[in-house]
Amino acid sequence: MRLMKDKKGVVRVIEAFLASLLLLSCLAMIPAQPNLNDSTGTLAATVQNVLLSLDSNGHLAAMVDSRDWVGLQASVASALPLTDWFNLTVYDQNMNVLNKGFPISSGGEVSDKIVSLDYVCASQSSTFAVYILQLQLSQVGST
Amino acid sequence: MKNRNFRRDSSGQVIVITALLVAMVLLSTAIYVIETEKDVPTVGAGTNNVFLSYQQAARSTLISALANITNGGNPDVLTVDLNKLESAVISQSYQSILQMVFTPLNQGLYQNGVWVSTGINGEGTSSAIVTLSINSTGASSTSSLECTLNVTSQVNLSGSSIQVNGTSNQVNLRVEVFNEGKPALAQGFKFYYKDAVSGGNWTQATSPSITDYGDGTYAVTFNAQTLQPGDPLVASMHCLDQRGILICANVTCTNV
Repeated sequence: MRLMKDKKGVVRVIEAFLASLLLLSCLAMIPAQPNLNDSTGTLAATVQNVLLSLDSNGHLAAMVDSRDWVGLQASVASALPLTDWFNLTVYDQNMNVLNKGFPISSGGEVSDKIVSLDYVCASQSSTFAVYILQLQLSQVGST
Repeated sequence: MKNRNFRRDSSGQVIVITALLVAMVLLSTAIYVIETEKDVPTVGAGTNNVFLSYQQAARSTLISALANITNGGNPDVLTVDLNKLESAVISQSYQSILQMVFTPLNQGLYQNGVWVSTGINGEGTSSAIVTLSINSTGASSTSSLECTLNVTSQVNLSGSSIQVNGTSNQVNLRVEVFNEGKPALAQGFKFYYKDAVSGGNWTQATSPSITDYGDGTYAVTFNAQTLQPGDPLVASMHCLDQRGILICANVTCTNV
């Protein structure tokens, strides 16, 4: 009699176990959430927006015109979060590096994931010039 | 044989059915959340941002060309510069096939997109207008943009002259500078005058007193000589706006 009662308890436990197994399997069936915050797209948009805002009044090209690499580094650094890493290379229209020997960057890379974007900007001075700015950016924690 | 109690025996099935219902609710909630989030716009480096950068570069090119032309450059420099920009942009477009067409305005007073005028009624204009068409064909989408780029520097000059002594006059001028219709600052002012009756050459005003009101308005005072007492004076002003575009205007000063 006692054994019978004990067996009924075991069956209940097994049923509960099966029920929880069913729940867990249903949860496992839920597809993995796609990463909607596409970090590459966000980084690329950040790069584009930073350069666009600096170029809005022609300051970006003016700094390149005057070869003011220190000013350019400070401007880009101030437009980005302190934790971000960037490296800027300035080319002329024939893809010759203009800031040779003057790296415009914020130290060492903080992540393996680096986004690179080319930005074409034109000088507003009466001596016309086209520059291509290649800005590489990575953010802490981006994988 | 012991009688079976249905209520007691079916309690296990009830747990399983309840678990199944809870699982279904969970699943449907998850699917709903996923489907809803698909409609949320996300920030990305879309074509619009890229087009904005092209627009900005084209605008800078217009400013550069207009600064060059108004300071004595060849009017064809606008077309040459725009072609340079076009080739630079197209060579950097790796992700899509890009077509960029610049159409300088050839209508009214504009020739090859440029109009530079030294008005005799006090209005001076240096302007460049170009229509920009961009067509981008990528692997998954096609987008296009057509916009008019307008770079216009204007000045309104008005003034009067007061006879001080014989042929000596004090000229008072008011200068208003505009960039695309909005008040703008200027620099490098030069003022000239000549006798409106006898004509002759322009004489540059020495040590003009310029008061900057900070809103694109300037009050200017300088001394000028006429050949005959009471002759009206024509004043001329040259200045550079902050973009380096030269604007000139002439005005006949009223005697007061």
